[in-house]
Amino acid sequence: MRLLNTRKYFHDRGVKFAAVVILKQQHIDDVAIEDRLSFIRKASVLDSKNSFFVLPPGGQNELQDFVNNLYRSLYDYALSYYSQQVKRIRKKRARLPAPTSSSRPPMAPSHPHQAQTVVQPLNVQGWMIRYDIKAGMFSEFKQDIDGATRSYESAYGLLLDTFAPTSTITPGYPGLSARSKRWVESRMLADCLNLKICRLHMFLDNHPSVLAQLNRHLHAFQSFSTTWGMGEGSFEYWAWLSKQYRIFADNLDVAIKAGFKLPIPTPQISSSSPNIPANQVGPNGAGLGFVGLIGGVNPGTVLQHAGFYYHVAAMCSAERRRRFLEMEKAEKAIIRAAEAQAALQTPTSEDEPSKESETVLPPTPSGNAMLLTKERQIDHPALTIDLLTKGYEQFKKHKNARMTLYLAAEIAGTYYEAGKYEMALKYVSVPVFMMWPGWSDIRHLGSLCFLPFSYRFFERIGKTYRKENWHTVLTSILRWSLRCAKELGAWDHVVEYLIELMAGQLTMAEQKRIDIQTELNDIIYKNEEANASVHRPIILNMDQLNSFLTCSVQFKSRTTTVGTAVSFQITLATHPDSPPMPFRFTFMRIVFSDVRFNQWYTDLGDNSDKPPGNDTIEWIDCTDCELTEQEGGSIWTKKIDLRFVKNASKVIEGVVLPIEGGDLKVLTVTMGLESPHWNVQLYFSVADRVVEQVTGRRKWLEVGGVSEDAQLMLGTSTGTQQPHKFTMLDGRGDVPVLRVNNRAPQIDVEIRHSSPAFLDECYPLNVSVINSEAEAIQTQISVEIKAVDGQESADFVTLEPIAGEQYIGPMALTDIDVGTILPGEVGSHIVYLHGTGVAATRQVTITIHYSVPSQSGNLVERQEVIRVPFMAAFDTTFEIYPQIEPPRLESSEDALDFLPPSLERTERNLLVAAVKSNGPWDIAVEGVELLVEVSLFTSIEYGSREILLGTSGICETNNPLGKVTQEYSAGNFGTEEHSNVWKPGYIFSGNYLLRLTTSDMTAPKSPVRVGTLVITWRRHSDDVNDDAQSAERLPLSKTVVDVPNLEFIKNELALIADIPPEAHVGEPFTLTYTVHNPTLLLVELAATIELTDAFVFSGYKQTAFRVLPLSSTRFHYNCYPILTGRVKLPRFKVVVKKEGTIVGVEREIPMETVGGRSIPYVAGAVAVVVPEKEKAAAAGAEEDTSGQLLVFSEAATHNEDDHHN
Amino acid sequence: MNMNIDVNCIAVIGKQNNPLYIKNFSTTHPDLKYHYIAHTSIDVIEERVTQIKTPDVYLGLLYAMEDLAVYGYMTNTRVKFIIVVSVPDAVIKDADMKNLFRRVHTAYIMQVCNPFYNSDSHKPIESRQFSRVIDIIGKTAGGKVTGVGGPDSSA
Repeated sequence: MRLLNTRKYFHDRGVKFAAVVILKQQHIDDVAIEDRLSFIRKASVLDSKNSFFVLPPGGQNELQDFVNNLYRSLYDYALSYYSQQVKRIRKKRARLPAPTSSSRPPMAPSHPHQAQTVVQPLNVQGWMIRYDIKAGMFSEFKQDIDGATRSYESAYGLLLDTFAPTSTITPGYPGLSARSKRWVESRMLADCLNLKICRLHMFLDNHPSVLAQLNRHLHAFQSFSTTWGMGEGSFEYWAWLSKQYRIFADNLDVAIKAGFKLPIPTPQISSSSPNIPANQVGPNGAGLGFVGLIGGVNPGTVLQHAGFYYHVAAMCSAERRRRFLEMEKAEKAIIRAAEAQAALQTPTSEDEPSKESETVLPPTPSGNAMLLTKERQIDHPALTIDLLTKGYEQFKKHKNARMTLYLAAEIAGTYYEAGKYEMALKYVSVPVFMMWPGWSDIRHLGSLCFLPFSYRFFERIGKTYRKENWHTVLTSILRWSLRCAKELGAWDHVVEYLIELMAGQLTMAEQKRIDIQTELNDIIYKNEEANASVHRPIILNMDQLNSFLTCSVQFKSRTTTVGTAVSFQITLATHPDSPPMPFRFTFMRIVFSDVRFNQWYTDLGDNSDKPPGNDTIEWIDCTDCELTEQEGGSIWTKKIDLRFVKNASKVIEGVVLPIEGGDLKVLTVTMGLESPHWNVQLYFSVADRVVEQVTGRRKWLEVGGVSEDAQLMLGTSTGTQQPHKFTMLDGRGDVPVLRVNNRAPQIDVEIRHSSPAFLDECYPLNVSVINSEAEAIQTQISVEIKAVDGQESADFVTLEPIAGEQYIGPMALTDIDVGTILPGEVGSHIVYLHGTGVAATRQVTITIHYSVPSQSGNLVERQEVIRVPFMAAFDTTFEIYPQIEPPRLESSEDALDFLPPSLERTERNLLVAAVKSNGPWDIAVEGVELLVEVSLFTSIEYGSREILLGTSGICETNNPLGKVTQEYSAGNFGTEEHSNVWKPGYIFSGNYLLRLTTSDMTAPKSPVRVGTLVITWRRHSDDVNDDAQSAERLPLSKTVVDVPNLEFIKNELALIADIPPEAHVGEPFTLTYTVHNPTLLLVELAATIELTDAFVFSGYKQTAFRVLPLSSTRFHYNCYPILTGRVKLPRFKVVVKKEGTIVGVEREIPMETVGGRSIPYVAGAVAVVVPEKEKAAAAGAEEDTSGQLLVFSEAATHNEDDHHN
Repeated sequence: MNMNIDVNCIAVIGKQNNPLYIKNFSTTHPDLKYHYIAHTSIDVIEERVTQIKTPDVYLGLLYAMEDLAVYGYMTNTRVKFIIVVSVPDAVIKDADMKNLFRRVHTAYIMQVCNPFYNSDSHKPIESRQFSRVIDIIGKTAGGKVTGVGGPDSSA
């Protein structure tokens, strides 16, 4: 029912009504819900299509969709509704009588109080305004922005007219009287309409119109205001103007945030813009002397971002304050005058705007009193600062960094005017916040934390102005800061600002400069307030400030060597205009990168001497400083004149004597002012200077000497002082760095050695140092040996000739003292290199250090690197010849044909070693010996003989059962003194008969190590006379060569023939065949012997036999040679019938001869029958003839013998 | 046609944004004000130059602040000229402004042509000749001196 009533209510007013029912979750399944809904719908007489909606419960999105749909479906209705409304209003407006035809009802003109009391009916113009506003409103609702704008503008135009003293629309009709109730309302309405129109223009993106409207409004009211007695001379006007600009800026800001684009005022755009007449700009121009200027296209109508309008608003606000203060002053004066004269001043209708504010006549004091009281409660600076801050933020947003600096300065100025000095100082330092996102937070920090910050901030605030040389602006800021700091009593800042203000670049009048210097002097030495306490030292980096002094540093030369003195000049130049009066520093300090050179000059304190006149160059000799002890070390000191006048230079020349290598820098030059309470240091960070632009050539002041000629000519005692003159040095700019090089070594190094070196040798290296210095030098040598390829080697260096066998020395020897070498003399030292292992080139590094006693601590170094090839002295090859022999020869005398089994086994091997002298040098060999290694395990069978230098021993093997015994050795060594000098390429061969025995032949037979061949030698030095003596002293070197290992012959059945070396016709001899079975198998064999023409023999012709494991069987054949020559022996053929369990493998056992190789059985064994019995020295030496026997006749013995040998 | 330009200040700013020459023709504002204006207009010039793809040497109106309109001009060597005018009661023709700037440019070129002038130094221009030319430009621009029908009015 409620629904019905509501519908009715709306229907009566012609409003369409629609209902939306939102179902709840619990109702959705309700059966009755459908009926209930239709009932409600019917009861409320709503159309189900357009006016009654049922929504199921749903999420926010569905609801939103529905609402959007609703909007869409209702949009047309709304449009047509508002169109009707607009039409209706227009009709109404058209029915109004023409304003010109009706006359305005008389208004109470001049008296505001009366106007407020009289109730006036709205006149035609009022109605027109009313209808226009209504039409505008409806058009706006209709989203017809154009139409709305037109209506509002019409209304605004009419409204403006009502303010005019004489209406143009209703002629003869007086305007609204000032300060009447309707006037206030109308004004408010006009302001609002203005804003509305501006906004609508912004909606339309119509830039020129936006500003045109604003200007039109401001202009109109500016002209009205003067007639109302609240013109540009009154604070009211400025308050209003400020507010207008501020609101406009707010709107603009909002619009820009919403996507309103500002035009870029390029020349093209601005020239094509339409001219909008009668626009007023320069609202505050009146106070500054420009009255009602009408804007042209360009400057006045170009819409800019909100920051500008905030700024204007702030300026207006500031003006308002000024006007207010003036008026208050005038008011007081007037009140006083009124009291005195008891006369009232009536307000005048015409307040001519004029820049001479004194001429502005205030309105009636009685009327103003209330306004003033009200105005007094307003915190003007806060308003201004707020506006400036807004502007600041706008400019910051538009990245207009320099504009923000300007605004910061304005804010600071406002604070200063308000007496908030700390805030002002802080705002002077605001630009630092620009890089700081959170600056606005810091802005609210209390003033307590300001001072510690300020120093640092200050350095940065003026940075842009300083960097870009905006001295005028900087001067202004510095003066501000100075005033604030003085107010605050921040004396150290005062000093800082004063010092920068002294800079000559900051243009100011001479007297002001003098004032500043006087003030600085006063603060440091006299001012009681400033000298109440001891201040912390003030350290100012003059390179970051504008300075009245410039400092440049030159070393006379860029490089020097240790021990060579170099002079330097520090030129301190003053500006042509500053300091205006002589300025005295109390000290000057030069800090070097090496503290030992630091200089400390103090003022002479001499007042009597007349300070050097302007425009002079003064040369101060500080080369004769004295080293004085101070706390913190010693320092070079001197007392010099530290007074500075304008347009003059002081050149201070000093000298440094570098004592060690490296760069010597002048880090800083500090000029200081010291008083009981102050310590002000102005430092020039010379070393850190970034040279942006290399200015001019390096200059060096040459001291004008006393002209001797003039003295002689004139015959007077006083010479003519020639003026100091700058001469050019190499290069440009400043040179505050001196490179100190170490002295070049003045020595020669000679290294003598006989390359190539041999491995294992004690290789002498004679290092000679020739002293070319002027003085005796103390010298040390370091030697290091290193394999070139980075191979591992056990190389070492020794000082003494050591016959190194096992000794391993260090790879490097350092600081070998050579001793003192007198000038021109030679000091030498021999070091010995030992190369072992790989034959490769070694790199030998020889470093010579020396010091000259006159320059202690300066070590001069020289390094020589030589490459020494190392090669093996000998090239040794070994050959091993196994000697075949039947087992247990020693028991052959028993004549047993069957030898019982035995585990022992003995083999003989002939080792032939060929040692070749490899190198280019003659080598004196002291001995070559085979060192058979002694077994630790086996009992020694020491049955060896020594021949010449050979020794023998029992070997130790990795086969504990096997052992090697040297039975015999032979080397063709001469016994004489010099015969054992081996020329290059000489080959020595040594024969060693080695017996290899094992106690268990069944054991695994691994190779047996024999031992080593040791060659003891030294270089033969006959041909090298120089080194003869030293070479003689050299110890013997030992080269050790490993002998290849011996191996046992395989365990196989063997048939060994023992054949005499030769036989003689007619002399019978015995052939012995031994069948040896070293295996663990029983073998059955069959043997046959074949007949031969050369011999008659006796023995088995055919037999079968067995040989037990590890045993042997012998067959003897007595032969009688019957032919001479090389004859075949009877062929003995042994065939294996059964080997262990293997039967029927008939194979023949190859025959071997004692001491020789196997006899090719096909050819048959051959015996040599010789006529005479001669035993050859070495058994088995004639292996060629094995299987054959040379048989000699007695007659041909000698010939045959010769031939044979 | 008479130009309606009331030149308050002519400023020359070096390529390192250092002031080379700032001349105040107005009697109402202190020099400092124009120093600030010249300095802040560097911002706008920098912004303008990046915004416009093919910048002309004449940059047009930079900004209007209070009753002053600031016009800019940048040479190919990035030397900037700034002319501050009072906002007039009529259109300021770009052609007029361009003409003014060209005269300043010519004066600057004459200055640079002086072999004793170091165009890379940051020092302000101290040439008397240059000052004189700038003075003439500033004082005759708006026809203040010559008035209607004067020699400059035909420009």
